[in-house]
Amino acid sequence: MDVNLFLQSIINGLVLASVYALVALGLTLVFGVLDIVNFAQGQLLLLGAYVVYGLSTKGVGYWTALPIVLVGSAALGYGLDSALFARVRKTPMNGLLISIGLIAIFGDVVQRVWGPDQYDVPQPITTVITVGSVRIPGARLLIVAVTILVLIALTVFLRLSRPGAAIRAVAQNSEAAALMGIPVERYRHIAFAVSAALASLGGVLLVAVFPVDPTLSDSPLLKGFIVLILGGAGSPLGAVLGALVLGVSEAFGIGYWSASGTQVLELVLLIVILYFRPTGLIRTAHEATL
Amino acid sequence: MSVVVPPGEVVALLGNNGAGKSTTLRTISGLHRASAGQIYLEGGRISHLAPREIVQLGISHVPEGRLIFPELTVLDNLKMGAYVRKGLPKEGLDYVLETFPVLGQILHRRGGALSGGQQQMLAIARGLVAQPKVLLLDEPSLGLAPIVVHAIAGVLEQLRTTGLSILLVEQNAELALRLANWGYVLANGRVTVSGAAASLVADDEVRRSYLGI
Amino acid sequence: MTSAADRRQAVRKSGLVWLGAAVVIVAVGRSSNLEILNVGALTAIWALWSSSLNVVWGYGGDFSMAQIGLGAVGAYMEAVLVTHYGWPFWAALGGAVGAAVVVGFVIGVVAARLSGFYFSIMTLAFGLALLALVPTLAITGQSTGLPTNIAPGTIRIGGLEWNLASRRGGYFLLCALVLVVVLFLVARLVKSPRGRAMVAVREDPVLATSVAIDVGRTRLVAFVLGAVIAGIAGVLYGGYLGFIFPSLFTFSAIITMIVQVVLGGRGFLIGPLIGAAIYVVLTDWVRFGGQYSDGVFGLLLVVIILFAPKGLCGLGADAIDAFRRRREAGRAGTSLASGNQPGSGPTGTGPIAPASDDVGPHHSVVQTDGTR
Repeated sequence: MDVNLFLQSIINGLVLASVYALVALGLTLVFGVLDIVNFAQGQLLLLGAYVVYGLSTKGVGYWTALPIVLVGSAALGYGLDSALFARVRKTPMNGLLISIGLIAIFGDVVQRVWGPDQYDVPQPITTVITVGSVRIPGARLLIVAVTILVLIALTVFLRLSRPGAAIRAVAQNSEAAALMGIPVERYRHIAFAVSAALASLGGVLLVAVFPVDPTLSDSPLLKGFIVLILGGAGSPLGAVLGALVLGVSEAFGIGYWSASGTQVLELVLLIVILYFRPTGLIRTAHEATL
Repeated sequence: MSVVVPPGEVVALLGNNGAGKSTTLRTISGLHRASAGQIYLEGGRISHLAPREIVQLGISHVPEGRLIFPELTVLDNLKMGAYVRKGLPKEGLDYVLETFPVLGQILHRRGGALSGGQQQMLAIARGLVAQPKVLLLDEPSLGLAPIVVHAIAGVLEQLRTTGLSILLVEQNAELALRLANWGYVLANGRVTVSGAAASLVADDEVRRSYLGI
Repeated sequence: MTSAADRRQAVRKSGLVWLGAAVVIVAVGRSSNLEILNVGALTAIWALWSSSLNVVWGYGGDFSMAQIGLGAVGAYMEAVLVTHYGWPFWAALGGAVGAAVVVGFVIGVVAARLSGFYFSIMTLAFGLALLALVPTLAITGQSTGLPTNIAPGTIRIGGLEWNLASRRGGYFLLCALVLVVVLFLVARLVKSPRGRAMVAVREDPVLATSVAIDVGRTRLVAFVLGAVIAGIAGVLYGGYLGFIFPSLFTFSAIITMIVQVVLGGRGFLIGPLIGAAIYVVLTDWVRFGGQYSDGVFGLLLVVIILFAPKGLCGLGADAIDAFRRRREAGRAGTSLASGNQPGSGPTGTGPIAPASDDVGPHHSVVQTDGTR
């Protein structure tokens, strides 16, 4: 057994899991609080990736670009929800359709500004850590580390802070939340803003390892859906565990078998889970939900 | 229709399903916009206000079906009840834990894991924790075992003595008129009979239709 | 007028509409303007394809994202049968529709257990799985694709003759006539008990069950019917292009179809046709938005959802309704009473204070007055 391939697969799996977890957490937050499946989540990731690249061509470094993208995408998410999605609250289907319209709009904006070519973003970390015969690029570890930090921060926010509890209250029963005097609409906007920031963070982290191109977001969006279903829609813990399972098994599938085969197999997995347990495999404990 | 809740007293709204009792409460708390008419709190018009502003003015609504937050702990449910007070006031928490001692033992349990009676107590406690002037109570006895109803009735009797005004919607007319000072009977969104609770208990129409005597 | 006479008149009227459509198609088919013929053919193909979504979603209420994948099944089946096995076109069309039915049946059976977003994601997964499988098979030409070699023969109408594979009117005629036939059958279906059951399931599945409609079966039938239409559309699309390859059938094609259906109007027979016509004319003819037309249509989708979620047909229907109401109100004249509006309860009668009158409103804490 090739130890090197095995360890590489683990690291690659954790990298994929990190990005999938960020996308799926955003999806699950918006689904739990707003009842909308946001198909444009992948485009927010793409936008984040391209803005980092765009800023790098203007001489703005990766670490400066990161907070700019996060704040910008949160503002964008807040604006999108209050300007568009808030108008169709009574018909979640129309919210889904708006998000599909946004896919096309953002896709075009990206193409118009940056064209169809592939670009590399200057690497924030070039260190390579060598463990025995295995070489682990620092950038990959960075992705995993940042994701873990963000997950902890998000958990603390949702579990321990007053706005976090209010968001969960809105998700669980928006009418009761309104009766408590909680500004329900504002928290919906905030949930969307957080979700957008999570997606764009996924994009920022991706470009630390992969080149930027317009198809960068296709796979994460689909994987986000798979994770959403795998973990049980509306469950943050399920999303993280689902991402871990999917990311690692995907990396092993690609490493030891074939990329296209893995992709088909994942779709089949999604179909099978939807068929037998549409509420998710992992969402067993009630504490896991928003 | 016209309903008046005097300070420190309990007013009961009676009537069959669909008579407009819950709608009246939802309109007062701002969830519904009234198509006509006005609502006043201590002489000030509040009909145009948002639910949040109405809560801030001191009206708490304990909705039908309890609607506690099932995934939040009892403590977090109470914190949400005091949302407009920017944090849980200590005296509010002490007060509700004194009123419902059982909640003190299960502060960190998930709301959804409580029994029906405990959930109802939590719902009332969540309404009281912000120390309102007026409590709107919708069907507090619905779906509860008689012994639990008895306990909750005891709490409501106790609340009467604290100077809190209560507007009570209750299927159980006997219970409602025992607790209330005043009663209104609604049908099709209008008041058909009204008066002191004691006189309603004696009213033939009310006895026949709502008390089943 | 009796209802039988009413119905006869309605049938005659709709018969005239269909006949008119056929005449217009034949007239356009004689045009020598290649651009018009191409735009017409592509419009008919997209209208057909979008109608497959309209049947499943607009009438049946299930938002399917598998229609592009089902169309790809049809297109590839036809191309494989003709190019590799030398089948004649019409037999290959039958094979393609058969393949779409089989795949559609499987997806339908599996997905009909779910509803709402879960149904959509299930159909999306199936659609994408189909599209991911295609390039893995040697017989499909993998990522290069394969030629469709379409040869449907000739058609004679009166003294006129067209080669149906020809760009000079024949192919347009084929597509347009297929569209008319399919729309005619869909119109018949919608008026039939089965079609009414579909709409009932869309409006309220629980209520539909209570009136003895088999909800699962009705949804499955709608889905398979959508697969048939998508399969035919895929074949015609492949024939129009002459060569098919995987990147024709991507997520962006799914978006295109959704835009057309929503723009034209969900649940209206000619909604997809109107949506397709606008789409094709703007993108293919006017080249509106140039290379970046996707974003323009995305914007259009958002705007339509916000301001006219029933689409252009919905706007038209509302306008006609309003016009009729106004005309009828004019006819009814002053006979319409104005009283008895809801909410005009006993206002102004003053608050009824509890029996002992010493408690006035100025003492009260909460007081409602005529809230209903």
